Amino acid sequence: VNTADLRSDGIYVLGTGAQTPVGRSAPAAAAAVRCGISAYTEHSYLVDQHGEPMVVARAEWLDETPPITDRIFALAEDAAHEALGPLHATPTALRDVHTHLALSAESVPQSAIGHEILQRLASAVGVLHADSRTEFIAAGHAGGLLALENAVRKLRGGEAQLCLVGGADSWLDPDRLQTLDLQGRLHSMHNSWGFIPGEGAGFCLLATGASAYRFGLTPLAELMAVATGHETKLMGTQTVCIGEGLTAAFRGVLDPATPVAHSYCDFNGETYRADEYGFTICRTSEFFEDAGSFTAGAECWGDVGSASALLGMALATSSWKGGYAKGPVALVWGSGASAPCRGAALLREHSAPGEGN
Amino acid sequence: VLLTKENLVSIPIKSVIRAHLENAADLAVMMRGASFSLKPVSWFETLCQRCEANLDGLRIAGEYSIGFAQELLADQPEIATILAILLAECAGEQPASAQQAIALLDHPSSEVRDWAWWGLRLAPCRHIAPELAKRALGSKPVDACVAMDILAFHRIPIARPGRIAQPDDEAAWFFVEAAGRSNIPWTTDDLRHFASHPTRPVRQAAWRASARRAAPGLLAFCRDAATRTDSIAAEALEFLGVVGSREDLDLLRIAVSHQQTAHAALSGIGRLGSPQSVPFLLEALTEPSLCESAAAVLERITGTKVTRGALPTAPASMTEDELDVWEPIAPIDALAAREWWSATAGRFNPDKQWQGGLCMSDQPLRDEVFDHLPLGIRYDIYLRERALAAGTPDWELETWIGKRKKPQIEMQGSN
Repeated sequence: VNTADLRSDGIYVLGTGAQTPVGRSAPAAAAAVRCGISAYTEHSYLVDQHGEPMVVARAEWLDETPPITDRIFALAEDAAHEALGPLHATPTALRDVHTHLALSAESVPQSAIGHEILQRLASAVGVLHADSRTEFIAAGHAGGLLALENAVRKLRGGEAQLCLVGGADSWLDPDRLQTLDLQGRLHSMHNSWGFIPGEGAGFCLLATGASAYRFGLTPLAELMAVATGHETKLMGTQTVCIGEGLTAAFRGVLDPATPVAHSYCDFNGETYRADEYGFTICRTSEFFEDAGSFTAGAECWGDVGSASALLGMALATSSWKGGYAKGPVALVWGSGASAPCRGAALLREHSAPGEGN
Repeated sequence: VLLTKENLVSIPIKSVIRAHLENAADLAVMMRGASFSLKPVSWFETLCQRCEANLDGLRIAGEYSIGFAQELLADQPEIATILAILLAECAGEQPASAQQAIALLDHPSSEVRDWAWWGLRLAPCRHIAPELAKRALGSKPVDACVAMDILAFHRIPIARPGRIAQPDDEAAWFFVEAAGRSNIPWTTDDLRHFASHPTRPVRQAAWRASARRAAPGLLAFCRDAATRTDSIAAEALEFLGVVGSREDLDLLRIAVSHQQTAHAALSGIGRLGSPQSVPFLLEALTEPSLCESAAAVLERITGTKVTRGALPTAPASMTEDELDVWEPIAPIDALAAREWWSATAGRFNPDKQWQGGLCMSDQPLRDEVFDHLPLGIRYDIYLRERALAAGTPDWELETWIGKRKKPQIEMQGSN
């Protein structure tokens, strides 16, 4: 086990899990994204306001009929199982896994439903707790990064030894899809700047270096920093977003000593998101080796809402594990349309040169 | 604790695995023969990376990928390339896979057999080598020669050195390819025999094999063959550009004046890369039947596009369908080309060999030069060095980009 070079107060990613329309594990989803394989397909019965079949990215193994909460739960359960995989040989570690789950306010409009999903998850996975050690967050696409920030705080403060952080979402509810269509946000022949609704779940298991060492677990990556920001100029308002919230999140994590080799962007096809990133990069480009080197998973799995950031982390860790990463440092960021939260996380390959003691 | 290894196993998504299979196969198809094209190395590198990425996706799905590839084989024979690679890769852990991989070479479909052969050239050979070695000793010439070719491609010594009796065209090509890369005896007599073969690919393979093996008398035989008037002359003229020197320019110029050998001789002039041939090529630009070939040769030597005039406008009588497939060619501006050469000739030392605007006369295999040449030019330069310069390393330029300069690793691994 390669734990000799862990920093005891460093935060490490020990496991990741992914459930997406293009892959039912982190490596499988990452391989599909790397190859540009898309799951875009016509919805079996829903048509948009122009009479064209809606194009969606669906988890094809799930029935089309179950309620959205069941879809989200099914995706979250499998992704959580995968992320917890490294612990299956370490039963003692399983007793104290704190859980932070990001869901979207649109798909889970009442917090009671969010807590219900958490409870079901705890029961299904078997090692999680549906008590004060769990947290449910609804903060849009960047919710996963907010959950990550909270988890890091807990780990650093010694309140937890292990944290499971996840995001799960699905747009594939007929009412949600029709609302998107009426808002003119669906990508179609008539709307090039819309997005393809998707669904998915991403999880990661975090620990301090001291805990990883104690449990003999080899990290996939070091989480160097995570930060969130607040955007006041939201999409659909009479304002022009110039990326202030996202810039604050970027500045909270970027470090000139570790330039970013590749970014995992929360683009979904809407111009708002691209403009926001463009303004942000204008202010922070000196922290990037090549700001144009990025991956947008939504090109393959559609817009996956609050799962996007955690899935971005799964892509980054898979690229290092697979040996095809562009470099040792990656940035993952999340934005949103109606939610003001913006977030960013800076990750470093565990075995990268220059690692601390 | 409900966590178990079993419930952590990823279940493949059929449509995604299909996409990985089809993409990987398409890319592997493009890789075949690409080494003889004039595409840049970066293009081939991207091809390899994309193919490797799709193979990774298939490896993650493990046996499911193999099963699905077998299902698709009947409709998409090129998938045999990928199936052969996947089977060969897991032959270490599952010995039966080695037999399955080799069995693809006996598939009833000739296309499947053909693509499986290409896959086994690209696959790791270590665990299938014993099966191939047995096959190379078999009595059916084509089967034995295919096995010998794959072994030789991976630089694994062949236990059956010696000529295969009466090989057909297909077997002859595999035999010659194997001979160029292995311990099979290969002399000028073999070159003489196979360079006169009725099939052009066999004749071309014979010249390459002789260069790779640094066959004694190669240059003398090439010069002699280039003066003949039968079918052997075309490949000899082309190959004289690879192994010849500027003393051969006169011979090549004379061959350009004969209709039958004109294009082969021009190709030879391009490969030779002597700036002394440029005035002759500039003249050829004014000859309608030769101008496009001459322009390509000039570009090959100088690395600069020949100046052209405006694109012709489409004739008014053309239908929309005809316009869709119409590819107008701008006329060559021979006068501008002459002026360009007058201004530029000083850059090119006339006593040296040039390709793509780079000097090839001083250690052309060093990375700074070699890696900037188009694929086909690299191949010719390598063959020249291999034929004429003692100690030139044994590289395999028809395989993955990352393995091209170290085929012997595979051989060592198999021992």
